[in-house]
Amino acid sequence: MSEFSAPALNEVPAPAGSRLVVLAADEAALIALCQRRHQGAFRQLYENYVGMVYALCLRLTADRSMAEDAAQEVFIQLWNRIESFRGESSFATWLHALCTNTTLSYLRRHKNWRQRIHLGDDTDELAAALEAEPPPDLGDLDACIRRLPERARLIFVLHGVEGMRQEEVAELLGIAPGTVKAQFHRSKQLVLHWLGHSSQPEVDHD
Amino acid sequence: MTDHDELHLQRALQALPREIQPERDLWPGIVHAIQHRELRAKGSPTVRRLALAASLLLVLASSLYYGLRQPGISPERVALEAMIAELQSHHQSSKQTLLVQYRDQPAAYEDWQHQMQELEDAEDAIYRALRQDPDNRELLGILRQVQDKQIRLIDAVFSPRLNSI
Repeated sequence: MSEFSAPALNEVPAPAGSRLVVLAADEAALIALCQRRHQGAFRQLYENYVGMVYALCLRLTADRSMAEDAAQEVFIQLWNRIESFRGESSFATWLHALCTNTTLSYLRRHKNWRQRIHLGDDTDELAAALEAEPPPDLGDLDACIRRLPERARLIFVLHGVEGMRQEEVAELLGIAPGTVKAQFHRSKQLVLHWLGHSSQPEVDHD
Repeated sequence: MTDHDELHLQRALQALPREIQPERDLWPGIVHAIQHRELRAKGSPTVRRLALAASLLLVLASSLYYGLRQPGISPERVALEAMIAELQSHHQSSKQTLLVQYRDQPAAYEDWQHQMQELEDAEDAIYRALRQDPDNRELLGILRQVQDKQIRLIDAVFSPRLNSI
């Protein structure tokens, strides 16, 4: 555990929108300033991480407008909770977890989560997509991710892209680890099929 | 899936950009929300209720003391009347503080003042009834509900909505 020491700058409240270019390289100082409610430092932290946060929000929601709203919520949560960051993990890892939880929570509130995630079963949809011709507008992996059915997409992003363990993903989504494993396998097949690199799609309907 | 497929997918995953910049500037909405939160924290319902409880205790104690010196009126009645007056004064002050906080923000819908007028009329009627029957706990409960509705109405009309920023 590391203790951060803030420079004397935090004694002077920064006007909203001010930038701390000099401190940008020293993330620990920046975080310490944010923990003391320094909005100028927070602006700098936002600039440093908005790309990472928005990328994750966009892949999880598959919708630009929802991703923008979710990313705003992530930074509002960050402002509210940054005092609890103690440096046990890297700040990027901590923010990543906050971003994942906030975005899933956003999706739960804004979509019919129970129907789509808990009760919904993407199996048939995935199998049908595997048997069909790939849509013509899927040029890259991100486009394929956006096209995946919702539960399959969340699993693919959290496990395949972000590297979370399947058990962690299962716990986050409230589904069985076996479901995560099976859906990830089918999602991989489908993505390769769409990218034109699947040698032999294995269609199963279990 | 063959090893070749797996390898291709791994390469595609590794090539994914770790950062994507949003098309619009998200910062104004964020700073608006956090500044709003700081303002609300200064006048949060818990703090307001604690302040109200403290002031009511003070009013009750002083009214009981002075009520003992007024012949013909029971000290309890004097205290209850003073407490109701303090409730009214505190609520007006809280409402005014909220309206000042929101003075630069547009209202989400236009007929909110009509709704507020209806709630204020109901509040006045309850106050009049309470003056006749200051010990009526049911009326006190209704008064509190009506006052809470006024505060919630102001919040709902003026609180920031991220989508619109």
